Amino acid sequence: MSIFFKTSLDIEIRLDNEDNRKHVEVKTAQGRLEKLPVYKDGESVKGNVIIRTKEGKKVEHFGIKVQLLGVIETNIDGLVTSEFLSLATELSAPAQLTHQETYPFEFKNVEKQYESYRGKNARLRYFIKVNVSKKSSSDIIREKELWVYQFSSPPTSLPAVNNAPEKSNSQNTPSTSTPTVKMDVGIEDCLHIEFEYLKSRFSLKDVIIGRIYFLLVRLKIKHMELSLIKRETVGVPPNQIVDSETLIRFEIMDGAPIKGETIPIRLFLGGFDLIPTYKDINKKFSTRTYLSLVLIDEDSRRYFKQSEIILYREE
Amino acid sequence: MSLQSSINTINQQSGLMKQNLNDNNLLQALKHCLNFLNELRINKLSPKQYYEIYMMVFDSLEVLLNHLAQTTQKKKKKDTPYLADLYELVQYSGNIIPRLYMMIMVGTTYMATPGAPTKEIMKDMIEMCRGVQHPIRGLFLRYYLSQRIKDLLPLDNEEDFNETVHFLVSNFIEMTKLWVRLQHQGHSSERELRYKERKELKILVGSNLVRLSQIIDDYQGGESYSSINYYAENILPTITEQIIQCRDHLAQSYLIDVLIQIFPDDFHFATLPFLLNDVFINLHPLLKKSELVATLIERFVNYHNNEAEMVGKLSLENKPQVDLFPIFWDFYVKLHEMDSELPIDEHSIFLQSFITLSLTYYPDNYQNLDTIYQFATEKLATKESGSEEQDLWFRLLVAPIQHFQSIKTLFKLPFFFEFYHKLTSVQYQKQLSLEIINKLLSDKNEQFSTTEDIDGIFKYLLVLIKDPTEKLDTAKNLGITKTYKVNNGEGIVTQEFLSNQEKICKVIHLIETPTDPFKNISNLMYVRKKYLNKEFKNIIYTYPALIMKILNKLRLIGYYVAELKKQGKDITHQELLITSNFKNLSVIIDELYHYHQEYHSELILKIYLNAASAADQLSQQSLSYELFNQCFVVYEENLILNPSHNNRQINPHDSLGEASVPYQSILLIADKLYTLRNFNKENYENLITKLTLYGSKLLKKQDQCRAVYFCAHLWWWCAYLPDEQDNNSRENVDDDFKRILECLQKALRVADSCMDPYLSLKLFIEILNRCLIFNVADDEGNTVIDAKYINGLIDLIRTNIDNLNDEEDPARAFNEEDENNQEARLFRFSREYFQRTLEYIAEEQQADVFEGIVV
Repeated sequence: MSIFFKTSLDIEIRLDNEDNRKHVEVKTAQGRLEKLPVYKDGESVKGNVIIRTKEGKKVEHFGIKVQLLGVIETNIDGLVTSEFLSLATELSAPAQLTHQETYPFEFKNVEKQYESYRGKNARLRYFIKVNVSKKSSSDIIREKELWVYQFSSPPTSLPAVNNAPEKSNSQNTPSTSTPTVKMDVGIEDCLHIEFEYLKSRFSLKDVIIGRIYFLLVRLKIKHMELSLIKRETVGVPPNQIVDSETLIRFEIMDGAPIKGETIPIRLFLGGFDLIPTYKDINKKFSTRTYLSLVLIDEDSRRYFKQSEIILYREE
Repeated sequence: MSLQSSINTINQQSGLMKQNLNDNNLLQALKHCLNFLNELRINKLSPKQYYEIYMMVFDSLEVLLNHLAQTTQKKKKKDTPYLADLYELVQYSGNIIPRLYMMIMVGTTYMATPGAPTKEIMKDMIEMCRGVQHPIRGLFLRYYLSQRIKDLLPLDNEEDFNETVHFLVSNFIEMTKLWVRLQHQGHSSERELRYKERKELKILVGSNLVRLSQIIDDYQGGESYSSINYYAENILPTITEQIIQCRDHLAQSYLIDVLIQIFPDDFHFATLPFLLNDVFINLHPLLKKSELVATLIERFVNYHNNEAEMVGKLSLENKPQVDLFPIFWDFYVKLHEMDSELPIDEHSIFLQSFITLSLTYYPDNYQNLDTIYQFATEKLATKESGSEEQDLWFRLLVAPIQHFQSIKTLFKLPFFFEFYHKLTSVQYQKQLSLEIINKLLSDKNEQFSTTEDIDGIFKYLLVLIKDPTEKLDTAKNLGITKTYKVNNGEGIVTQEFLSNQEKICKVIHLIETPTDPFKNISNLMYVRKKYLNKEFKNIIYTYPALIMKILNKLRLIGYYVAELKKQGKDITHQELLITSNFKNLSVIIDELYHYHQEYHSELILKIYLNAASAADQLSQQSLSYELFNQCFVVYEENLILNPSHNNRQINPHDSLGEASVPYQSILLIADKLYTLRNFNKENYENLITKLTLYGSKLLKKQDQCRAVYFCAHLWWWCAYLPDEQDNNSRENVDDDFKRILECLQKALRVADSCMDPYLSLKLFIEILNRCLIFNVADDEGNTVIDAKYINGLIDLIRTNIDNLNDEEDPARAFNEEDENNQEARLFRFSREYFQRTLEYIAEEQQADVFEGIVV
């Protein structure tokens, strides 16, 4: 029934300059690809709402409003939705619609605090919602999702969160302090390696560059890989759900090195679909990325060391 | 199995890739390329199999590469980040092996395009190659890099050159490491297999050095640039440090060898001390450094020889002036100090090489050789050595002999003999002596005129002089080695032995002092005293030559003295010398006689006769007389009843053929006596009386008869010799003529007393012939044998013939031609002989000779 009614009014949300706007392809829960327009933090959201009546029918309504909403959906014990952004504009007072009407709208310089995100157990969505209030039946609602990118510049926009000794102060003056991430790991009397990444914070199009020194090798190593692991954490302990997904496996060494060898690391990130590091988004969820160095020996045993890297989106 | 499936996959994927390329679908092509590159990740292949698939992959990559190069050229008009992008794109591949091959493939293509950041790419690629630590895969990957990049190496300026060298050197270092590491892979029971595999792979590693050598060759450099200096300062130390550090036997021996072979000679000249003292010394203790040194020396020697050929055509401007030998020698001594347990064959190779080096570079400096032999004598030959070592020492000694201009060079090498002396095996000593003697004899102009020279050469010959004859191992040598019986069948010698003795004789003939024959003789005497008489058994082979040589010299002196005499000079001193030399000579012959009278009396008799005749020619009457007496001694002691010819068939009817030894000896002596010129009558008579006496006492009638009628001739000669008072009186002559008649008379009696009438007849006719000779008249018309006597003899013969004819059975006479009828045949021969004699007389009578003889 309601479907039947809904069809009585056709609502279209048209954003300004939409065809020329950058779009992003994201997967829906059903696995289909969806193209969404991309907005930045602070950018105005502007457009028109076009409402048509069907077959020239007269439709009475109790007012039309347009909203810009930002919500976080988490799924711990059932779906929970919380809004963190809600802006609304009245487009029309209660009236009767007889023909096609176009209502322009604009949310000026909206602060979009977070990036859009679709994870396993958490989603962060921005959308425009047009609500036509009806007297008798339920309201007629039309939604259109936006995709928001949060750009940041490397130095200081994100707080240091990793366990690395020190992050880089500034890219321009790397010599003032150690710009690299160094780590010593090993198994006593078996393996001792030292690895070094040039930095711990990377833009999504960055290259991970580093090297590994073998200080002691008594294992029969077959090969060595570098993997990137995305970890999504939803909720707060004890009701926390963690989901890990290995995004990239990248072999960086073939065969067994001997003491003193240095193995170079170079991994281009640009070609992969990565997401920036989100920490405690609205106290609901976090996404982090870990760089994992895995050594596989001849008996297929795996030895690994993970360290978090900070990813950010760069303009 | 897995090899075949790999091959299939590669074929299939590379086919698909080519299709995609034709369709201009590069991304898809890259995907297929990755697929076949994945086959190179395979684990279970042997190096050979891996090489097989590597080659397939290589070829397929070339296809893709050419496509990229072409498309790049088309896009050239626009900006060219195309390949740069591609270079990044291929690095997304998850597996390292395909990723790096792609990188290199794209990277080198990129390098070939103008304006590309060549050096950055080069550095990047070699850096990333570190990710492959698996030995075989790593080696091939780096080999691919080196193959692909070889024509693209930047060499435009000094900086480029430095970086290129750095690139190649570091690739070399890494490959060496991988190669060495392969040895330690897998289970320890597979060590041998690993070693074999590594040998198969060595060329991959060596190729880096080849490239290095090439770019050094290619790079022109600035004015101050010197490739030798660059090599010595920048390349060699780095490379060799790596080679030393790897402490791997195979790697060190192969790589040093490549290093020696691949870089130019003048580089080695310049860096020789470093190479030897800083590199070779530090190599693996078990490594055979001798072989490396030998290779190096071989190069130098070849270089020298080539250079010798080039002389005249063009002169090398930077001809190396390095004193090689001391450098090598110091190294060797140092090595010996460090490791005195160095195996003997290594020493041998070292020393051999040094000898070659010294002979090539220092043909006139024998000090080096002597140093070598001194070292060998003092340091090496001190221990007990087996046959193997002996063999090695022998080869060391033999090496230079053929090389010497003159064998006298050896005299300048005192330690050569010392070392030679250390050869305990007589066999080797003999061989070496033979080498020396052969070399010596091959040179026609060699002469030994001083005792030093003689000592120099004969000390090497001593072993041959002393060579024992009897020690022939019949079980081993008989039947293989040709042998001769000596000493009347009681001894056996080999042909080799005889030819060796002959060679010694030839050397004796080389002892020559053209200007001073007395000195010459004393040298020859010296040789006998010091060397030849060391083995009395063998003097029979060498003394005759020595004696003949001395006699020859004495004759020359004779002429010389005679010449002086003619000029009226005082020759007393020379005369004295001649006398003493003859005495010494006589001692030598005596010695020979003393040891060899049993089997060689005939020979010794002849020697005595020769000496005697020579003495006569030099007017040394008394000496000659004594020597003839010696002849009689020999005759009496050993020849009268000589058993040695018992087995010979002697035909008594044959006056010229084989005869008994005593008879022949008498003829020999008579012959010599007949040639004497400087005797006085008395001495001469003594000798011939004695001889005639011997002749008349011979055992057999026919020998007696013939000996006596031959001796008759001596009296004829005697008749004209001056006697003591030097008055050649008529009576004396008549006396002697009487003796002739007596001799013939005696012969006739003996012939008559023969039991065999045919033999008797034959002898009569022979005597008749003798008589005819004596019938010739002298100046005063006197004849020794008158016609009457001859006529009587002819009658006698006729009577004998008639008698025999009567006895002859007519029936048998008919069968005269019968071969078996020995007597008839002899009879016929005698009659024919008689007939010929008569015809001769008749013929001669036409010329007024033989008057009064009735035919």
